Amino acid sequence: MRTDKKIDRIKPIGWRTVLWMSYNGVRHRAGRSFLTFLSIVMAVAFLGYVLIADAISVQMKVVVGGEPGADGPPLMWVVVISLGVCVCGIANAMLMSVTERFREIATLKCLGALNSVVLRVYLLEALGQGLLGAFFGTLFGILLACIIGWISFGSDLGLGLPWLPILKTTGWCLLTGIVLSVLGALYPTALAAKMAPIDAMRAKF
Amino acid sequence: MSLLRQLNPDLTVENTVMVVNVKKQYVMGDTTIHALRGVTMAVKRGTYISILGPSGSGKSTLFNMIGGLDRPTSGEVFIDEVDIAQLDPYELAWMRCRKIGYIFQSYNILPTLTALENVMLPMIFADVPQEEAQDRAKEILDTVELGNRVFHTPAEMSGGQQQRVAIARAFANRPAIVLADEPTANLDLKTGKQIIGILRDMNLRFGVTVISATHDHKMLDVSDQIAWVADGQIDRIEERKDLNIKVGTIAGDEH
Repeated sequence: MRTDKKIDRIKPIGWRTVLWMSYNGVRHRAGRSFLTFLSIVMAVAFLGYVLIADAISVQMKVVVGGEPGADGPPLMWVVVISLGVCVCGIANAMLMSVTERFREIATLKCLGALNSVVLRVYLLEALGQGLLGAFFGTLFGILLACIIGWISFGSDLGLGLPWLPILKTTGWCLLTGIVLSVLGALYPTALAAKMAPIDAMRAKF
Repeated sequence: MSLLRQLNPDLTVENTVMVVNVKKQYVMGDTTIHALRGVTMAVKRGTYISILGPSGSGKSTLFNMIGGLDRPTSGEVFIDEVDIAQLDPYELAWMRCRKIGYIFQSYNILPTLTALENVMLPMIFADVPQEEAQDRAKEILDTVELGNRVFHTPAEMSGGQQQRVAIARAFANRPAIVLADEPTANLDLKTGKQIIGILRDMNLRFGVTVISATHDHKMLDVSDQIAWVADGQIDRIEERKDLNIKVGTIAGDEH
């Protein structure tokens, strides 16, 4: 298949191939760098737990008696800080994950991958990792909050698990995990995609 | 050269690689480092040329220039008569995919893919249909004697086997040139000899120009030409037939 052409323009690879490469990457990394994956899970679980534990206690105050919303301002700060923890944890995990792959990215460019291809493959991978991590994190966090709620309030809890907050929190947690994973990977991936292969091989910034 | 012609009768002799007065400077703080001080050389198609030189001689820098991995401060590099500095990203990617094959010291095969998939990758980038890519990948892996390991991942392979996958990948698209950067540096003596033998075999079989930057003197024996680099310039280029090298063997290890 030696070509006689002196020069031509490369055709960017299709989404099927990009997805295939990303899928392999996620599958490989879910096993290999379990810690990276775990940090996404834990960060999202933390957020989910805080939100549902609060929702349960609010609900219990309404059911059992008391003033709902008495914990307003302090709780908001817990949520803000927990989001901050999420951002740092996930961004760090993704940064580490991409930096480890600089050499791989340089290799892909030597095989003829365009910058846009590299970006697509690695961001899709971050998305996949974020989705997987967010899913388990959400499950874990909300489940834990419910279990602890049941332990604290016993059978009173049966009178009303806060279903609407659970639904809303599920949505927020999934979104947070996915968005933060992609955002956390975006900057280092964009950097690596633009690097000349030689600098990426030496892992220079 | 006659053996090469025998195996590839319609090979026309032309300059696959031309380096014209290439200079490279790095600015580090207050000092300017002159890595290359004006290198000019031409490599004919089908040649197996080794670039030798001590650390800091500019050997790796020259190598990176030829491979389009880095840009010269001044001067031109032509691959198959195309000035690589003038290419836009799409053309550069095409060049890297179809015209140049790379072999690295640390193999650099993707750990998430099997041997077969690794060799298929450059063909996929070249828009070769899946089935054809698979068949050709199997064929070339057979040539490097990895036919029974096509579905293994790098984790399940030794260094020598990984390098063979890397070689198969480099030749997959029948490029004009293959660049090998210290291919045997991470391998033991016996495996290194094997790899060098495979490289030479591929060079003769496909008529692909092989340019190797190396410390390894075992490489000298199979090279058509040897370029000695010192202090940012080419000291001399020698023909193998003009050299008097005896490559020794280690007793008890011959097969």
